[in-house]
Amino acid sequence: MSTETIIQMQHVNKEYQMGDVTVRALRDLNLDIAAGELIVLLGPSGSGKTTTLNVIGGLDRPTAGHILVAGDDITGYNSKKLTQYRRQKMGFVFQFFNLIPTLTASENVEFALALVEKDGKRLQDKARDLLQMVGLNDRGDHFPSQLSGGEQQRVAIARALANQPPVILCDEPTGNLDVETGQRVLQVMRDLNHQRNTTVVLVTHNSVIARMADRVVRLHNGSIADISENVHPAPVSELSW
Amino acid sequence: MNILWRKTIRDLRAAKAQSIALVIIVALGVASLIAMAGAYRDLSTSYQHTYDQLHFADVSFTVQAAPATVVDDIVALPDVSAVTGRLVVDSGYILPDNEPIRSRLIGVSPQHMPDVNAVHLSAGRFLSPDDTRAAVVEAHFAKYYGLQVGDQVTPIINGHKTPLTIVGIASSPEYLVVSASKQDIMPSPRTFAVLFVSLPELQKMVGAEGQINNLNLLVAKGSDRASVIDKVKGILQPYGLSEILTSEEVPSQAALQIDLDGFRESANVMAFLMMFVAAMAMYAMLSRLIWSQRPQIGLMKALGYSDRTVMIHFLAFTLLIALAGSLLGIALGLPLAHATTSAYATELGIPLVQSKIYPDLILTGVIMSLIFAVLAGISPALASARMAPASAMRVDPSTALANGRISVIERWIRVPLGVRMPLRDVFRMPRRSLTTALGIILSFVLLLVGLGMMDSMNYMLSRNFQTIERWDGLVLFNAPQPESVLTQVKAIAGVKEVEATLQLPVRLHAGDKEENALLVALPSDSNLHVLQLPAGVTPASALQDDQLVLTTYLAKKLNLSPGDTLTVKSPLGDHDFTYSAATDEMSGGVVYAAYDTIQKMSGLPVPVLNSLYLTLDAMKVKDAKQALYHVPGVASVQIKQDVEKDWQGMMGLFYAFVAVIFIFAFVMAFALLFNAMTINVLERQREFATMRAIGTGGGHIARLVQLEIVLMWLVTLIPGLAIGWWANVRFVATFDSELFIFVPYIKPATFALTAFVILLTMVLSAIPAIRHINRLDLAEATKMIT
Ligand SMILES: Nc1ncnc2c1ncn2[C@@H]1O[C@H](COP(=O)(O)OP(=O)(O)OP(=O)(O)O)[C@@H](O)[C@H]1O
Ligand SMILES: [Mg+2]
Repeated sequence: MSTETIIQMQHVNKEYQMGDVTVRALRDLNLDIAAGELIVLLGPSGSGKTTTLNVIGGLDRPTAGHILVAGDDITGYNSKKLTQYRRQKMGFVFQFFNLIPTLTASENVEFALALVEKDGKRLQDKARDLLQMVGLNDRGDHFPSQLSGGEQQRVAIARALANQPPVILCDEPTGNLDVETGQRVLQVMRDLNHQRNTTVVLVTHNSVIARMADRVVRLHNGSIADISENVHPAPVSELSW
Repeated sequence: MNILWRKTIRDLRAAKAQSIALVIIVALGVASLIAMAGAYRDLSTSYQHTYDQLHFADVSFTVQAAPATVVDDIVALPDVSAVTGRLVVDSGYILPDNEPIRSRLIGVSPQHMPDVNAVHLSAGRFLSPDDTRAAVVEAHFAKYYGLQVGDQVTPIINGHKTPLTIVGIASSPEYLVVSASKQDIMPSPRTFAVLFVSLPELQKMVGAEGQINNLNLLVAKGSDRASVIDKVKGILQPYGLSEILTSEEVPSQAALQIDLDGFRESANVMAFLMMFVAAMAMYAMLSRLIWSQRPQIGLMKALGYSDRTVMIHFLAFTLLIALAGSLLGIALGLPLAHATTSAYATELGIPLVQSKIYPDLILTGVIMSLIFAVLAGISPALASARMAPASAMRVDPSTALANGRISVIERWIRVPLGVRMPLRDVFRMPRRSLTTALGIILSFVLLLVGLGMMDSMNYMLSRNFQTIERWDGLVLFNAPQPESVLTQVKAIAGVKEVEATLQLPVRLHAGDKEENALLVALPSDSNLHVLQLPAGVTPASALQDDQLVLTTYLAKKLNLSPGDTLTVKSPLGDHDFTYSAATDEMSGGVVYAAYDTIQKMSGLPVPVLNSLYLTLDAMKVKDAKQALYHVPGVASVQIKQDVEKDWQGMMGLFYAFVAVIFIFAFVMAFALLFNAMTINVLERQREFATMRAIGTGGGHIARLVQLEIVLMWLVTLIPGLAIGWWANVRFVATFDSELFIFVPYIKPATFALTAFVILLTMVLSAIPAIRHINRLDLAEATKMIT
């Protein structure tokens, strides 16, 4: 495993103004993530996990601090550069899947692929390959409402992988899934991480999942409470909750 | 197909009902623009076309009598391209039930169709030299009395009832609106027969062999009409030249122009109103639709779609709707324009109708709808482009519209739990409620404008014929008469009250403004024409000495306030008057002075009158009318009931116009309300699905939604009625003309009806959405975020 740092969060703060009340979602967060690392963010509800993913992914801007990605400070990006950044560097798997209801599973994947691949035929082939990767080869023509929660989550993962981003950000990818399906989703992540050296940042409040990580970051109230390293990450098949 | 396009199409299909409703709204806006403005242009060109084809005279001259050979002298003038000499005899006509009316016999050469003022035959043939006692009858008159070729007409010629056989029925450019003179601007085919007869025959019958008294001429293209008129004047002066009418001054054309101007204005205003409503609706609805897709906008941005792509994608959405609406609008508008033109042309008896397609109108409609579609799409798209994608995706869009406050009403009174939720839905989601309210208010406007026109027209007519004009009969004389005629009229059985008046065409000058008007010299204690003066002003005080009462219309046109002076130019000379007060009447161009004042002004040794207001014994109207026609000098006797009927007949077209507007307005209002209600419910699909999932019954949800609708209705009721009334006032004002003044009026019952219809429509149009919610596959619905 390479130890080159891909993401550096430096004194990152995020505040939300709600009328008179200021919500401090992130407080002076400092974190380095190595390329090819599988890192798990753990923490209770409201501790700032999603917010952390959002600022890393360029979906949201920190109120203060810097985020360096491959040495480049993305907090200085304008919206156009940020769009390029999201397109090329980041893949998202959302807490609530966020599939487009009017598009089929395969089309939802194509929707991301279409950003770089223009040829219609190759688009469909690639979408099929991606769905196959997450074990959904026979569900391509189903609409999201016709898929189970786990299937929807896997479509979302296939979509995140579409353009082979170096970093994948997953928000509670197993939160809505049973153990077996959850394991399958996690296995996809692990494989990706191993085979393509993709950096994976995985958010969960389930400490069992943390066992598969290279490193575990515990968030509390918007700050890092603890960072621990797993010298021997557990294989996914051994996880059970 | 590109994946983004596929998504656009699918999204449109997913919101099928709403998309269709929007397409219909846009279509109606575009269609009304094309139909109304198109019909106006069609009518203008049809008139022009008719005039061109039938060689409508540029000028016509009336003399006492001239030898027919004078025509040759005039034709010989430079710049005169054609001349037709005629003998025109105004006389009486006896209807089958012995009722006398007016007739005009026009003697033209039977050799060929006249070079100037030709006629357009709709049945039969033109006169021929072999005919004896033949006539070509003017089409309006023939239509009114159902006359056909072969029937007989019975004008009075030289004091004798003279039967003529109809050989043809024809339209004449001089009588597109049948109007005998400028004062008689109401079309009156009922009381006015125009007959074309052989010139030699007519000359013989009236003992005027070889004579003509009316010359119509065409001026060569590009030459100066005024100088031609001067030259002709020189030639005709010896023959007692009495009248020169240019084509614009011909009564029929003057009436048409007023009508047309009125039509143009109301057509434009109506088309604009419809288009405006469509645009507002499109903006409100589309921006809501896009707003509800914010999570998808967030997703697109997360995936790396650029702001521009996102915006174009959602613009495509709105543009497609606008485009579909425009196409449907064109498909609807073109035949409607044609139908409107034909209806008008048939009603007015315009023979040569031209109906065209106006690409610029179509383009205007399409461009307008596209512009509003862009406006509708761009603002929510821009708003989300500015927004961090994280927050666009974070929350359910319906809760994003909310702010976390307890509604105002709840702070004042304790409301039961069942009412609290709809109350908060209405008051805590200002953005959603505002766009919905906008839709409801626009519906109020549409309905009130449509129904209000009907009310205003009915109100105006009933006010005029019941409150203002209290007479039963109006007698007009050919020439001023001494007051001794009053004794004769009073002696007629059935005549109850008589009031003498003098009516004169005058020209008013006030500062640099001038207007034509009819001066009515009225007894200042008149019972039979009741002036509608401001409160506290009596007719006696307003008509004192040199005071003049103006109609509101004229006072406004001349920009006068009470106390101002103005000059009245009349056949009696120029006189200065003081404007005392305005009378609020239907007629536009009338001024009133005291009968005694005018008599003094005339300087004549004895008082004269030229018209009478009468009240009649209802049982003896017919006999009295006949007897009145026998009084020497009587030109016409009008019975109020008949005049009122004429008005109603003429209004038939107006009612048809209003009916079309109303149908448009109603369909549009329905589509608007349907859309607003549907979006309101469907936006909260998940919320309702969740409610159902935790065990809320379908009936309960229906009640909740309907209660919310009643609340929305209550909130919009007052602004809706007020804005609707205001729009009606603005709209009705566009109909004002010299011919008549519209008073904006809406019956209380109409307000009530409108309010009720809107509530009913709202309640009914929410039903499909509620049913959809109650049939929802809960398993699927609760799974999805959008
Ligand atoms: N748009 C916002 N406006 C106001 N407060 C916000 C907003 N987004 C997040 N917060 C607040 O920031 C804090 C962190 O939120 P975040 O979504 O990161 O939590 P989380 O750790 O992902 O929680 P969960 O496990 O429940 O998803 C919370 O207290 C939340 O209420
Ligand atoms: Mg979260």
